[in-house]
Amino acid sequence: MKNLLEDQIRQVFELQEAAMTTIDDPKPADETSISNTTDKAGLDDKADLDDKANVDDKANVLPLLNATSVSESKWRGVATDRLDRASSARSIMAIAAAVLVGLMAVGGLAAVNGSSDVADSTVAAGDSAQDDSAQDNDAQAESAQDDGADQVDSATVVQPASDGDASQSFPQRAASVSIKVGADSMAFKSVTYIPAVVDVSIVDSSGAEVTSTSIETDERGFFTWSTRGLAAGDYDLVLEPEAADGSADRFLVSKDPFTIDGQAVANEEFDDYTVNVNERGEVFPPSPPAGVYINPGNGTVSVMAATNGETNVAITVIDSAGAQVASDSVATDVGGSFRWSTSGLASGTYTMVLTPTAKDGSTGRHLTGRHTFTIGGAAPATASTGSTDTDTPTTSPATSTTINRQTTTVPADDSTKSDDSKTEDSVTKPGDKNEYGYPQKAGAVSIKTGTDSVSIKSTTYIPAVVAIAIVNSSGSQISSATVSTNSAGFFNWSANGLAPGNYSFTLDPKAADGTPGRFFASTEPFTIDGQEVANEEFDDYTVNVNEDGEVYPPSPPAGVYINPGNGTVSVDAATNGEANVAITIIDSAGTQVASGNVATDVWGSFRWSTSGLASGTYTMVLTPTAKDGSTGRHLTGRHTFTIEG
Amino acid sequence: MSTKVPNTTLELDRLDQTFDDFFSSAWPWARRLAAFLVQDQTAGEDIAQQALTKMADGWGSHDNPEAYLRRSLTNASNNWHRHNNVRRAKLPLLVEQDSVDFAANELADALAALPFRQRAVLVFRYYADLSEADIARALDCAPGTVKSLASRALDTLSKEIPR
Repeated sequence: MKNLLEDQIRQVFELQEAAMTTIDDPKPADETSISNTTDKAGLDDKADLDDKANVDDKANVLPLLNATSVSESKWRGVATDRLDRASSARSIMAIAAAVLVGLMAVGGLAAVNGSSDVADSTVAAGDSAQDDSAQDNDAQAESAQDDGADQVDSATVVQPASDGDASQSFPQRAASVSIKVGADSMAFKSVTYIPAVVDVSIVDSSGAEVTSTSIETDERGFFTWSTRGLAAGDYDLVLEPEAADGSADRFLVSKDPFTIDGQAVANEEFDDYTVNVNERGEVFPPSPPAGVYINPGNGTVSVMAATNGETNVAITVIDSAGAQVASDSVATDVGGSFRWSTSGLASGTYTMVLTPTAKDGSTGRHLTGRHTFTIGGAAPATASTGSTDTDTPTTSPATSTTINRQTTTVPADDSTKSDDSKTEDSVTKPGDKNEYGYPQKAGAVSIKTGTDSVSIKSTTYIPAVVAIAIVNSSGSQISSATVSTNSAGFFNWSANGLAPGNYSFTLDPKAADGTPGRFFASTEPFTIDGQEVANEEFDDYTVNVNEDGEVYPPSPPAGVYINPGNGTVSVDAATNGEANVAITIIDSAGTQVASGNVATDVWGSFRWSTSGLASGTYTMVLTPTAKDGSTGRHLTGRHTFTIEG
Repeated sequence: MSTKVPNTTLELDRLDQTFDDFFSSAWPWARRLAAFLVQDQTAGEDIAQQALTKMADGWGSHDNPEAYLRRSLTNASNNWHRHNNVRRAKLPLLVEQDSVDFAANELADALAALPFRQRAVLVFRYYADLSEADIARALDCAPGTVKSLASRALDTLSKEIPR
């Protein structure tokens, strides 16, 4: 059913595009020769449209309708009426609609399904226009290339003379060929939309075939392939599909160029990229590990990160000379998160390569992530960049190393004084090394402040007992506590009732097993400004470690789309996992004017709307809580919108 | 499908490409894409022209001009869609709506009625044949959001059309 629907959607777009193309290059609809008219950047199109749309719309579309084998006046009347409206509005969209009305009146959805004679004829009619437009555009591409444009089309036709069966509604060649290149490798994915067997070959610049294979697509036509060992140079990827059911002439040969430049870093992540469709035909968004937090210090590096689903993660550490100095493989927890550390690294700059693979063997779910860090010396910022963009969580390889918010660590000699300077990595001062290789202080201290509260979370990496003290700006201790970490060293603590002002807190860990000398105290400054709005999202933030010790990258609802209009506002967003979301709307005076509570779907997405809002500016507060009661998985998001008067 | 939106991964070295070259190659698909996004050809052309005009000013600064253009078109289309909704709401009885009407059958009706981002995902996926990553880039959202938007859209459409 889904595939049928997808085909129908494509049909709608194709018909609409056919109508647009008809207006682009006005000519009789029954003209079958290839037009050599080049789309001159569309400027001429617009003039043509303005001048001729009223006339040519009908001239071009009515013959299409006449081409069908049924002549009921009923649908013709409807279609003509639609055409009249379309002409008056000069909207080609309406023309496509009129065509569809005619088609639907004749054959109902069967026209789209292609399951009747009538349907066949209507599809052929649509394809006639479509083929014309395709040829026109191929001509455009050739023209552009003749003009010297360095154009790469995603669906380059190399055998336009091949007689594809015009009655077929399938693409005449493998579509959407996506190519990824590495230092000596290439991978691609594509789709034929129907089951097919695809002969794949790679041809070098001299025309010699370098390698070839034959691939069976999945039931939806998706297929992928990769190869290694390619020398630097220019190549063509040649795809020659044949329908799996043996029907002939459904496809043309396609040829797409790519270049291997021998540069390892530029597209390295694609070396391990295979496909975003697994063996079951499921499409996964490939992603590198996200929320990567790397904590280098004193010869030891630790990584905490999360993947998109269950995975095993291969970790390698490479020094600046490219030599592998450490490697391991870890299994993620049920949330896709993992932790790993290694020690004994000399001072220098390293790259950590994280290569996840799905536990179930499905491919294409993950991309490789690469993260640079420095051991010793003045370490540059690496992983924890303190992103505050609540609307756009990091997803791309280029920006995937962000997660911890307001994560700060203090210089090693700050155990006795406050220092406003903040560095992203734990850097121990000379002489602080000990024999255990553990961080010398609590690492990755994340601070969240509320109206009158502060919450902190951190880790000592090993079980420890941490003495925490809060000192105000005059040096007076106003609160203290002792907390025990969990088995992985994670701990969190919060205090409230703080008056506005500047504070600092001291963390003084002791190893739980009594081993002395593993830690020294660290101090972090923070400010309570009493402003409810400024840090509102942290009021509900607890910790990113749940009761089972699992680490979740806390995140606010992502992809938030708020659509205000006419007193109504709707929100469409997604959370990081299953959640219930409390929604409140606050007006500019701070008064709550609406609220709701929604449960997300299995993807963590949700929708909600309310109406009756007066003109003005509002803030929508989205507060997710995990359905399973685990804490720290989500942050509150705040979004301002305006209801126009 | 005759004119495809270029796939990001295929956009190889175009350092030598002039804006005129880019305009020539991008205009056909840009105006179609915008037209499908806003369901209005004239508005789509305006949006595409404005986006390309802005790109001309900063030509040379875009690492991936096609992806940049897709993103610009999406944002501009979204803004147009939003303001058009307001305009329509304010002028319900004065004039007959002259723009768009893809509304010809249940499926086209349902497509036109989808929320903008859901429709955009379908346009990118089934018209432009973009990967989820490229769609996410164009919509400025996570790939998972693309998946959920598409799922919702298909779910809505499957309920709207007759079996």
